[in-house]
Amino acid sequence: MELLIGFAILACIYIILASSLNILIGYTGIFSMAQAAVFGVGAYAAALLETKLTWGFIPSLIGAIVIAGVISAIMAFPSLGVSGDYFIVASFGLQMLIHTLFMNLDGLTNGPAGVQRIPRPEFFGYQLNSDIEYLILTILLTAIVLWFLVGISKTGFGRVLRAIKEDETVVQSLGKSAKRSKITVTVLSGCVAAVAGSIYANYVTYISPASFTIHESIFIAQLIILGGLGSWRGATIGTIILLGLPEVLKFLPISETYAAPLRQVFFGLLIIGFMILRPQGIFGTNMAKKIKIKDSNITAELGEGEKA
Amino acid sequence: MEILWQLFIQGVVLSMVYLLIASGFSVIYGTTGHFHISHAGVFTLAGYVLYLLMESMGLPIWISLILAIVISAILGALIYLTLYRAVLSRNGTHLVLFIASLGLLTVIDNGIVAIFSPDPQTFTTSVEFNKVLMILGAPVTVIQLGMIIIGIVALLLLYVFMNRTKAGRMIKAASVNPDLSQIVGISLKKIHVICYAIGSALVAIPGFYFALDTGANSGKGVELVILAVMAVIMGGIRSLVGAWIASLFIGMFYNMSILWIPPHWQTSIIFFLFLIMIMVRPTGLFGQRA
Amino acid sequence: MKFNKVRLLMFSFILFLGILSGCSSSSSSTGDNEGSDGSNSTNGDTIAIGAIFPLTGAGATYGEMYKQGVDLAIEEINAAGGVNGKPLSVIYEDGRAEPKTSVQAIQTLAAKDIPFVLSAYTGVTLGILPTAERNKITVINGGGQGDELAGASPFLFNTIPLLGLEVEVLVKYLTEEKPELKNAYVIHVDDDSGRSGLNKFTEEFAKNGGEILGSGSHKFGETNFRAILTKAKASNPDLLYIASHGQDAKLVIDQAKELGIQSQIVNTSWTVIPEIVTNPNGQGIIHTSIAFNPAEEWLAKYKEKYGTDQVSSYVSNYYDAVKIFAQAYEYAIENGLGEDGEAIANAIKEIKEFESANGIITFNDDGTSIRQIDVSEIVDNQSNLIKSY
Repeated sequence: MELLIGFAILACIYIILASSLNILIGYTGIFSMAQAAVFGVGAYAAALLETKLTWGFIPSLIGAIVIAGVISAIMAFPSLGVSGDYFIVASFGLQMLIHTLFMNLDGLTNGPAGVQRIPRPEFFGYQLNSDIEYLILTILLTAIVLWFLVGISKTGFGRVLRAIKEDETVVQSLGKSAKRSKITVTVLSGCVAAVAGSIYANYVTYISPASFTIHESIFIAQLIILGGLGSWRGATIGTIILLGLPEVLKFLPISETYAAPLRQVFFGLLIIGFMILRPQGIFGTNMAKKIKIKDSNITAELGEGEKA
Repeated sequence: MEILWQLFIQGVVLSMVYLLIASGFSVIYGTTGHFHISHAGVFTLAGYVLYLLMESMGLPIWISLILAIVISAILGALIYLTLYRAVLSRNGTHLVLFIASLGLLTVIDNGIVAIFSPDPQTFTTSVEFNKVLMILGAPVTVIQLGMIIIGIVALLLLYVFMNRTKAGRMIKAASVNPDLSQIVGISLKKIHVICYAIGSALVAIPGFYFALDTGANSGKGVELVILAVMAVIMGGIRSLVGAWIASLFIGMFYNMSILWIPPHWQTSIIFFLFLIMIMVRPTGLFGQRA
Repeated sequence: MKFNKVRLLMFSFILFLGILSGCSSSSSSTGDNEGSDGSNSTNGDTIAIGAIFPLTGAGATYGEMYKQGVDLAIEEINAAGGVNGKPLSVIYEDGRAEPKTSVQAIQTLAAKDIPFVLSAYTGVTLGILPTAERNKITVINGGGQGDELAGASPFLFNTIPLLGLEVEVLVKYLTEEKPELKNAYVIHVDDDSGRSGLNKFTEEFAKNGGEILGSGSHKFGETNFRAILTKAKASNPDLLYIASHGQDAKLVIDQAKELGIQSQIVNTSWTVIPEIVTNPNGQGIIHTSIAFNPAEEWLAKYKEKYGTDQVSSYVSNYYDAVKIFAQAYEYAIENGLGEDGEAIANAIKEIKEFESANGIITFNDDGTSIRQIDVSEIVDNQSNLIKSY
């Protein structure tokens, strides 16, 4: 039972993270590899506000959202001028940069040793010590975030974002600033990731730079790719499958020495299999098809593929 | 002064590593547009192939090197022919291909650990290649010197091939305008296979160097490849010379800047410069605007 | 239509996943005996302990050594009739040397009511402690040496002496016996343990009148150290302290010799791995080590199981850890302390002194252990004792 509760809390955290990346990749077509860094900024901000300034859970959460939003805006300015594959590398760079800051701003982040003894949230003198209580809080926050994001996607702003993904020039010709919308959505994504960071920091009660590496960014991207880009259900189901997979794979009867690397091999094969058989993910309709990076090459290759 | 010279020589060695990886990536990416992150997987595989040939089969080093280059080229071409074509033929975008490539890299790196254990596989037959030579007071190992010489030859061959042969010009034409080359009857599939083979052969050389120098090991390729990709973008996509200049810069920066910059900031500073660079000049040093 | 089929398939997959995680079994192994289904430590037929080791990734080399020690101890304990009459088994979790993955791992173990977990790496150990405390799990660390581990938790015990102690002894030896070596350069791995080494060495060395000429860091798993070593060489230090571990330390030493660095290389117990001791470039290194004189009998047992007598002290740290658990568990039952993690922690505190593969090990109140520290020099492919502290 406790195992399921722990799993559910982590799943909620990653559903929020996947959703935060989903509005970038799935809706706007910006492929970011720096989501773990933004997640980390949120987690560090919340943890430091709680441990150093002894703020409560809610004020720290709001503080983390604001800080992550500001940092996302700073990150967005240089990188959004470029598009497609360049942005993948640029965001890789941002990820490295922020990780280095976590490691080396010793006075603030305590370097590689990380921030210890982050308190569990307390409301009116009652501390949420048990995991089940924390799960309720987490589900509540997750629901608010998802409700908020779905709401936004239905507004005019959401339509502008989807239009940017389809064709940026059209958006500009209609007098909307694509760049401003892209920065807004990046900030929004950062704020949402900060919520996940805050929940994570308070759940694990210990954070260190090792939790916010490039591998984590890749993992978050995999969640929505598997589930389906631009789909809310997809982000959720993708998260549950990828988080649960290592647990399930433990049941395979392989000797321990080989089991761990083989688990990773299986994981890689699953992703390859999905990319070949169902690249739009489990729930993505044909959204993924519409992301256009270097379109001419694809059509040329496809033309040939059909002939063969 | 002596330290500057020594750091410079080490910079040349590291630059050659980036030069070869970046050239390989540039040939593939410039023509196909595929973000072939499994380039790092080929890098790793090359080292293990060499290990198997030299240590398990006991072949002499020269024969092993030649065979291993050929095998690496075939592996690269196979990745394209099997996985990437399967992805693309099913309406996969380049983003999907990138993810599949990332999945393949996970399979390669961990598959190797499952087979060979996580320990590096050190070469026992290559003791004489670890000997240290002095170039005007700067120590260089035989392996390093060998890699530099083979690397220069390979890069010259690549340059001549791309600019002086018909096949090379066809690749260039296909990279600039794939639709047009299709019409004039150039088979894109063939061209892409050739690019993957060449690119993989190039990345194999630093793969051998790493394996001979510190033992064949998995998981060392990703960061090298990402930095090489950065060099390709900084130099301007499709500009081999641009990629070379950027690679030289990165290799030299890592070594020379150690005098003033603590090592743990180096990579971040390179990425920072990269961000500024693509802000100021998104097409890279030698890139033309589309 | 096809779309619906895929969706159905996926739902059944998720359902399957749910069912599986509901009935939690585990990949436990009782030494060589396969397939014990003991998922619950208290009411099964076996007593299960947990181990969070890096089984994949850059730390996997060490994870293998840790496992050897654990498996050896479990096999021995079970051959002698188990703990309190029940066979002992271990559940390995792959923590990848990452705090996040390891925290997930300890939650998995906590859910199975495991009272006792083996851990490694400073960051990982600090990361899992809050969860361990909440679930009353006793943790023994035999690998991480960061000084932050001292007094980190009443549930934490370290069979490995922390780095600070070793560095203190190292500097003490150097100032007493090698006063001619006055300045030093430090190369360290850029993580908490490497920085502990740098800071402690700088502090102690300066206190004893030495001068630190500079320092350079490298990432864990790096293979090219020539740039920082060239810089170190240019400052011509008397001493080169290498606060790097495993393969990294071996390569730093190889490349230092390759670049013609003549300085006296010093290091802590991190040096004592076969790759360095039997390496021509490793000869002449002065290092501290946790006194490791395993009994002949123990060595023979190790050789029989693993086919080599090149054994690292890490193996014995974890061998000891399991033995300490067994003894504490029996003590707790006999003295009516209970059989949960808290009882085991209390038992360890009460027993305080344990027999180990390698002499007596005594725990301090802050969970650190007192062990004899040796200063040795590597000569003729062996680590030869110079002085004990």
